Amino acid sequence: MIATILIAFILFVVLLVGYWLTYIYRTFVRTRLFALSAVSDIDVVGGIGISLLSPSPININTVVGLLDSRYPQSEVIVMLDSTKRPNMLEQLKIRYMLSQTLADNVVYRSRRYIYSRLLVVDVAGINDLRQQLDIAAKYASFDYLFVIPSSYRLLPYAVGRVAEAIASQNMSKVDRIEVGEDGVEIVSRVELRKSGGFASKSGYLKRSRSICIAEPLIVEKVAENSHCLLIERSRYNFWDFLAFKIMKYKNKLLSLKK
Amino acid sequence: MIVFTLFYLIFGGAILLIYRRLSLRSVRAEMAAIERISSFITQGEGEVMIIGRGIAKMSFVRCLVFVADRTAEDAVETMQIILRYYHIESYLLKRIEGSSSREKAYYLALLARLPISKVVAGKVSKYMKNSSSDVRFYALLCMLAAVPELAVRYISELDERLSRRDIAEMLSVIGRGYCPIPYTPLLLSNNYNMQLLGIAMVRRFGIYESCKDLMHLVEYGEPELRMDALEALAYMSADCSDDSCSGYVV
Repeated sequence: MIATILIAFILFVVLLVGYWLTYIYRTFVRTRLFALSAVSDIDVVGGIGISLLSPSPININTVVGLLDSRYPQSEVIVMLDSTKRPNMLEQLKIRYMLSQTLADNVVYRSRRYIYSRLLVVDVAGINDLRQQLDIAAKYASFDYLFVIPSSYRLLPYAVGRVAEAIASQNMSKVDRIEVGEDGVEIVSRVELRKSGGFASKSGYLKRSRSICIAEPLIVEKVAENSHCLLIERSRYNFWDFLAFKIMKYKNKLLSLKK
Repeated sequence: MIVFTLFYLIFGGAILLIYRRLSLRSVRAEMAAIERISSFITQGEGEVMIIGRGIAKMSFVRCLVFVADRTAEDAVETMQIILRYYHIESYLLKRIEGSSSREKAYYLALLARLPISKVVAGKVSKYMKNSSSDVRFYALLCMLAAVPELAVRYISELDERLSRRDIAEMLSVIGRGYCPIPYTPLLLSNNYNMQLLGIAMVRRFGIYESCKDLMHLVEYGEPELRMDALEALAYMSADCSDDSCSGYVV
């Protein structure tokens, strides 16, 4: 009796793992196909713009990294609390020749044309992250908002990949993009405004109008360059892709324990 | 029990380390291959790479695609020499033949990005009737890379509407220079896909002469295309004082 139950249990586990592996393989094949496409041409018809929101970046190198993204139709909005981190704001002002805009005292823009994609918003006195994001979203000029947690850096292909995912669907049907990493949010600006913004929990965007991206878009700051190479490789190597998925589940389990 | 757990931990760790080392080695091999191919293109000379030792054939094909994506018309002949030397076309066609539909789409996408010969178009045309939409699209892309005139006819016969990503993929093939397509017939046709491709081409290459056709599209085109045509006009800083565009000026 016990042996039968044991065998049935083992069979059940094998079936479950088999189903999971086929699911992972299917997502990998899709990822591999997407990894081939030319990102620079995505904005040829009716460009899809993406605003990158970076709440309180750790240091100036984070901002430099964000401005490096290969996708042309994007801007970087940095949120900083001038009362808590005046040095960082000063550093940014000097490096990018920032000056306050006339319309609003809390927004800084660069005087140099090459840094016209950078926008610094002073969020002094606001401690809630969701409210800070709402203020930054007010100044965003593109259709989609991409929130990046402060302790992570963006992978080089990430913004183009997001634009590509939107371009592969009918644009009016995509309100949100689901990504595996915690803290990352990619939402449509117009729909977000309709639903009451980041801070309102009741009217947040529905899942039915969202699409998924399977591959990693951000990496921890401490990761070495070889690790980043392996991430790039996971877009066309199944075993690396599988290792990533396992690591992600492991991290989720660990965070649940805490 | 503890001994067993320790054994599995050490064994698993060792396997992971070996795998990581091997994968890093293959990444380095791919980088070296890209360097060699690009030096062969720029200087016209280079060592022959032995496939199967140091680098797998599929990795080599990926490297070729990487270089082909970043080179212009003048590198086509050299790329074709490399393709012939390593029998890449026949290798990929064989892989396409014996794989599932998901794999087929990937190999067709690889093939479309290379400067392939006209013979490939005949062999790929049978995949235009495949049940998978990805396979159908990438077969079309292969045709576009091999015989552009034939591909335009196929685009006009497509039942489904192409997405913006599909158009971008097509432009990346057209933009390499060895795939000339006349843009005026595209803009003047009544087909949605053809018109969208035409608008994208005009915008990408900045063809100022076709502004009149774009204005005609703004006035009489499909509602979904009107905005794209107007955006293309704005992108090229065209003179929009014409009656057709005046309704959109705020």
